[in-house]
Amino acid sequence: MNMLKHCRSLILVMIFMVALYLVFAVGIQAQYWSIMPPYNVLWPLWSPGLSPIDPLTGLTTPLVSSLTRNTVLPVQPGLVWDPCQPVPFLLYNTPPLFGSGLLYYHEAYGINPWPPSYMLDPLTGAPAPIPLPLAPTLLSPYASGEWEYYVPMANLYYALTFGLSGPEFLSLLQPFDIWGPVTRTGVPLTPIIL
Amino acid sequence: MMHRKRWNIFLIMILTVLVGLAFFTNAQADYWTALPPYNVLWPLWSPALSPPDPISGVPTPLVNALTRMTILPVQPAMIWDPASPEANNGPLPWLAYNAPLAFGGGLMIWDQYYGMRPFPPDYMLDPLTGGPLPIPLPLAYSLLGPIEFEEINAYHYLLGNLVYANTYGVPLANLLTPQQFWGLPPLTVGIY
Repeated sequence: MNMLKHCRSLILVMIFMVALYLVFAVGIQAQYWSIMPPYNVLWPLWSPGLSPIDPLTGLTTPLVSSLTRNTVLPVQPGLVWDPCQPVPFLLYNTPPLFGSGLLYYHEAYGINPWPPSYMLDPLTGAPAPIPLPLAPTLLSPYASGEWEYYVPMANLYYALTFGLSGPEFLSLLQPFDIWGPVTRTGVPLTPIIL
Repeated sequence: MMHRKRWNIFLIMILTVLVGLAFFTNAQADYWTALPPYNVLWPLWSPALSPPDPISGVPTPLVNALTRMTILPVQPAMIWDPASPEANNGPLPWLAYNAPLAFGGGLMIWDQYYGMRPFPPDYMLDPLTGGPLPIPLPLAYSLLGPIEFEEINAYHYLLGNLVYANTYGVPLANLLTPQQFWGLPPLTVGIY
């Protein structure tokens, strides 16, 4: 009887451990994206260039904490995603000579002030946060292969729009900076550990 | 007598086959040549980068080595590591350009994933000495097929030229067009 009770306790402890491990494992794998206020767009935590590892916590940390018209990106382009849109937005700062403010690039709409109009309340002009699916941070990262021409094309478009060349143009992030090293199959060389 | 005639026919057939094989091999051979010191492949099939030698008629590369200090007489050049560890979606070639002296000079390479950077890429340098680390090449690398105009992403070549022109303020007109690079025939009237 005592033995049975002991076994039952052991099984309970084991189940608890497994459950705890599962929660922990999901916690580790989760959060490929971070939700950015005030529009709820997703910022890539999987990008070494846009979410470097915080040396203190060891966690990938977005370079910005929100994305408004007045946000200044420390590196550009930023890449953000509305999961309802087929393509991501690339974000750029307006060069000082041309004023200020965040800009977005979209393959169909070109370069425009951030945010797109559908993220603003048509009556008040206040932020209208986009609806997100359940567990948006668990959505898969973008595969690099599809976007390796999109990013240089957007960079060129941005540079030609504002007459940037030389070092200013060369300072723009390349797909490599956003995605990191990849193998010939497009799979990241290093696993994403968050 | 009959036996000798058959023997002669047999010899002629063998000779024809051998000549055919030699001709076929020669015609197919040497689409690429490996340039020292890194062993990157240079396209012998490009009339602009490997024009025929006026005496021998054999395609001859415009340069005989590719280092950081090489100056290309025409640009862009296309160079290739068929087993590049950096290749993303298939082994795409690099486009090579001269950096203007105002920007420090030197040979630059461009690809869609890494952008514009100095030649050679890091993996071709010995991490300890910094000396050249020639890339391993497959057997019969010179027989690898040319990169056809239709195979490469249509934007690859033009985007490289645009990025280079905008980076260094070089007129696009100074760069080879795809037509010149591949030696494409003149456009003809389309048939619908």
